[in-house]
Amino acid sequence: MRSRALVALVRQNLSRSRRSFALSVFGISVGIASLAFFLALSAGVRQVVLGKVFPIGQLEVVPSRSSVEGPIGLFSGFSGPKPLTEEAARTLSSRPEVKAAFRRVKMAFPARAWGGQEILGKNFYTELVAEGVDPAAMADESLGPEAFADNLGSHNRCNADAECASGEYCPWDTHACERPVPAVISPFIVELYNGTLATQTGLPKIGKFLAGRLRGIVFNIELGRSFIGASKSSVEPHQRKVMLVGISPHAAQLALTVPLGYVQAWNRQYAPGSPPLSSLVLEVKEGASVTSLTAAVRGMGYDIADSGAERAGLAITLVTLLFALVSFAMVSIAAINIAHSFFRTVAERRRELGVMRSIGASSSDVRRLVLAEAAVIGLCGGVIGLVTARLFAFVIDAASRRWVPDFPFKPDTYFSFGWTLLALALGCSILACMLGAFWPARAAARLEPTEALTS
Amino acid sequence: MIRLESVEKRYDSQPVLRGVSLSVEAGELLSLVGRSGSGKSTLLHIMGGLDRRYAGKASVLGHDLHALEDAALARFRNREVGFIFQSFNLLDHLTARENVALPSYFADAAAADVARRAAEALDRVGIGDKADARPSALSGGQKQRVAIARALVHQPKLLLCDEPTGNLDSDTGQQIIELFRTLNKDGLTLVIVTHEERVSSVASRVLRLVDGRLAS
Ligand SMILES: Nc1ncnc2c1ncn2[C@@H]1O[C@H](COP(=O)(O)OP(=O)(O)OP(=O)(O)O)[C@@H](O)[C@H]1O
Ligand SMILES: [Mg+2]
Repeated sequence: MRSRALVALVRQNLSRSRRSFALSVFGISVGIASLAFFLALSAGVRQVVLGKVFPIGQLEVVPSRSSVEGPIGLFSGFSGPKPLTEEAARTLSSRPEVKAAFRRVKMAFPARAWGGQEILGKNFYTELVAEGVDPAAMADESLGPEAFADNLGSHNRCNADAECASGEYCPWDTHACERPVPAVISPFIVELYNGTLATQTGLPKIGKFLAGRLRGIVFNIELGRSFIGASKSSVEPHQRKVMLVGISPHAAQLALTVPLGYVQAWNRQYAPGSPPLSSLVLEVKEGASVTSLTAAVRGMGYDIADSGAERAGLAITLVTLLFALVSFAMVSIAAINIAHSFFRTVAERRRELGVMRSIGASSSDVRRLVLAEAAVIGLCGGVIGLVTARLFAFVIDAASRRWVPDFPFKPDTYFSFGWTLLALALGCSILACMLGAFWPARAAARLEPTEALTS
Repeated sequence: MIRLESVEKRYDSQPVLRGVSLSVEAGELLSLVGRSGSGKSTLLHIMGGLDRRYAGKASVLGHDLHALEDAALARFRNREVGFIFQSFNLLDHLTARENVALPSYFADAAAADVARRAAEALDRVGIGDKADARPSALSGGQKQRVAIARALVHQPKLLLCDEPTGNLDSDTGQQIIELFRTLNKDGLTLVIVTHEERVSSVASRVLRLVDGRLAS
């Protein structure tokens, strides 16, 4: 039998029993719609969570915490976690699994910041949480107007700003001309600000436009002094200027990020004895073994910071699995329903199938005919199901944009309908229908023509 | 053309055919008569390759029917024999033209050929003007003509008819018998199962089946 003839016969049969065709299509489309909907939802949420909230493909090496916890640490008189040294950082950076390594150090003393009048309309005042990051980490970012580098400025002796070159100022403690400290913030901070602070206080949100204007704004920080309570620092507080040079995913998530050397120098001054490095970010080469790298890190007495990405990924996977199971159950019920209706159809058409056999249909022709009808039902059900899922997703996205208040990382869409998902849902639909029709098709094919004719 | 040797058939140890041997030559118009339940339809189905569960040897148009695979047997039914039934067995949801074209769906024929052949077959049985009617809009005689056109669409050499006039009034039946005679004159071999004397009277030979055996 030619495929053309098959198509003609299937069309003739399906258009005769429109009602049962529509019912079967409806049944399978409900299951496929729910399957596609939940898979797209999970893919979309995964993209946001793993792509934006938690960066992937990197490990953060931190001093081991477990070495001080528990009685063994106490009995052995261990005074604290093994600090991360420059030497250890170099050793780890040169491992074959590592594509790039960036050192980090947390600012280990209180500080405060104020400024922002020219962009936000009023000054903000805040405690300053800052972290020093290897300038190399920002090498790929397009930042400006100042470079993200250590130790900027001519360091000419001065008594007032006017004595310094343009773009420089004269700190009154060092009397050496400096350029403002370049600083970068993470997209996470922008999201937090947009999602919570801006929404609640009516401050303008930072979109693409404002993000551009943020660059180059200068604000003041005061090292060694806090808004909260009295300064405990024995060292006299000093003021510095800071210039925002951009937003980068390589910045520390919840801190103002400045070049490493600044923080190391400040720490030596305001918090002597604090560790020179607080963590080391390792970007793993594609395809390299994370396991062996992790083992090496542990072997040197350090830990890997838990970013939460693994747990978040696992949670998403579990929830997806649950909904996918429910959807599969729906698809299975549809398949059973199709099996039932096809058994009935085959019984009803027994005589007709006998006639076809008598004029030249082989038993495999009959089987193909029944299976092809099921495949068409699967195809229609799959397409309708996918369209339905897409519509639902569209409605939910629109409703979310309109009625759900902003929250950090609120995405434009919660769904991701990739090509693999479309192919998967369609394949699943067709397969389920053909599986349902398998036994009826077999029964129809096994019928001897004479039996079918004399029934 | 047809050669049966001791063909036996039983349903659950109930014998229906008890050793039928016969041979039909090309160009014959054979009439097969017998009481109801004597096994006429059973025998015809065996000859047409619709029933392979028999004992003995059946050779039709040079094929040993036991030896043919399902696909080959289907091709045999499709190309080499035509079947006519008492109750016409047209598909009600298809037009006359589509019913006649149906056998071509199971052959490797091009679409243009299918349409041309169907039209020719309908013309040959004198019902070309009803091509677009569905069976429900046709009289009994017209339905049987459509069925004959369907059987002839691939120009078989052998036509097997199971009480073709059983559901028709005598005038219409007579016309169908005339049609068979014309087809026979054109060289077609026919085996017609019938109760009617009129059919037997035009036959070149009459065989009687009594209790699963041929009585001469
Ligand atoms: N599928 C079947 N199962 C059991 N017995 C059957 C079956 N088909 C036919 N028979 C029996 O076989 C015998 C012959 O049947 P067949 O249809 O060949 O008779 P027939 O000569 O064509 O009769 P009629 O003139 O009424 O059409 C009958 O007794 C019938 O009851
Ligand atoms: Mg009969």
